Amino acid sequence: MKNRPQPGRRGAFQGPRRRRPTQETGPRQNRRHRHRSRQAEAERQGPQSQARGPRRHRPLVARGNWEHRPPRGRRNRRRSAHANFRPHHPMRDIFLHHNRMRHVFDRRFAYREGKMKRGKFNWHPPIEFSVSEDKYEVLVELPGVSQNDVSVSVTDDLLKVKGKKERKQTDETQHPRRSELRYGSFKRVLPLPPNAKVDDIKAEFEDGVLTIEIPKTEEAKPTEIPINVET
Amino acid sequence: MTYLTLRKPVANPFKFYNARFMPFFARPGTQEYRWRPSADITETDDSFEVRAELPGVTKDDVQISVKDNLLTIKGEKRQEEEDDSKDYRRVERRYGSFERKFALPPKVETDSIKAEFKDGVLTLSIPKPEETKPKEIPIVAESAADAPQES
Repeated sequence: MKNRPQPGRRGAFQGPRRRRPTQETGPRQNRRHRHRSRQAEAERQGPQSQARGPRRHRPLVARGNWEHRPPRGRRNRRRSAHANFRPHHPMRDIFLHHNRMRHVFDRRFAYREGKMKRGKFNWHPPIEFSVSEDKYEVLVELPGVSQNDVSVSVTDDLLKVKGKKERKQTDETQHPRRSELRYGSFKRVLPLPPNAKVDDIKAEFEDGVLTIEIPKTEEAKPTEIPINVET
Repeated sequence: MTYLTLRKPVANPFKFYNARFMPFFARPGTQEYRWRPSADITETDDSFEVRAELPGVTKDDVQISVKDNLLTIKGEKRQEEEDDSKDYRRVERRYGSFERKFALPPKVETDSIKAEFKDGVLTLSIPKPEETKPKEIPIVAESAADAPQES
């Protein structure tokens, strides 16, 4: 109530002065209206504007015209918004949308970027997991990995296979022509079943395949229950 | 077919579609093998080296042949004998026959190709022909006056 301008007092502060909207600056303030055609503009303004005669100022921008030149004169230059003028490109809307989506995705997945680039583990070797009556068996394909570079460990009911595969450089002049193989650190983690004998796990490495045998506890092995037949 | 020498071979435009959505472009019987081993190709001054990963394949199950400058690695990865009591919970490995072809550069002496199989990796070393090996060309002085003279 305090700041409300009082009609009677002329010298009082009445808020920041606003420019009186003119017919020409109207669509300019709201940039979305810029592409509205002249006819639609006339319809919007009603018959009054038509009665007022021809427009005093030039239209803002000749849209999409490569030949277009800015109108001369200081006032016109300011009004023409030529600084923002770019010739219309047929793919422009698509580019704009694409860029916008790119920013959205970049922001959404920004936290992953560091992990993807310098991840600790570069690849995951394929595995095979089978269950038989008295044991579990895990096969891990590790071609080209030396036995010293692989470690198998059991912690908290998890079986972890970790290691590193290094690129072999035999010659100084050697350089890659085609690279399909994965190098670097790898890791695979498998949950151990509750009836596994953790102490008796055996691992074997042959022909680039690591075989891990996990025996079952005695209770988990199937037992035959004889059926008594009544005679 | 993989080219040893070219960086970017001419791409087959139908390959992508054949593999994914449009199998009707593929001719029947073109692919007899089940999987394709991945390989690295490196080049030195003297030779090419192809390292193909064949985990779980024994040495006897691999055949390497050269015909018309086309090096073929062929073989089969056998699964262990089927055991009925075994219950497979997760299989990420690929089994069955495989085949991969490499186009050799011209004038390679096929007798001098060496193959080595260790830890599931097949290493082929293909020596380059003498003509394509890099040579040092000595610079000869134009006249006797330019050449350093010992006096």
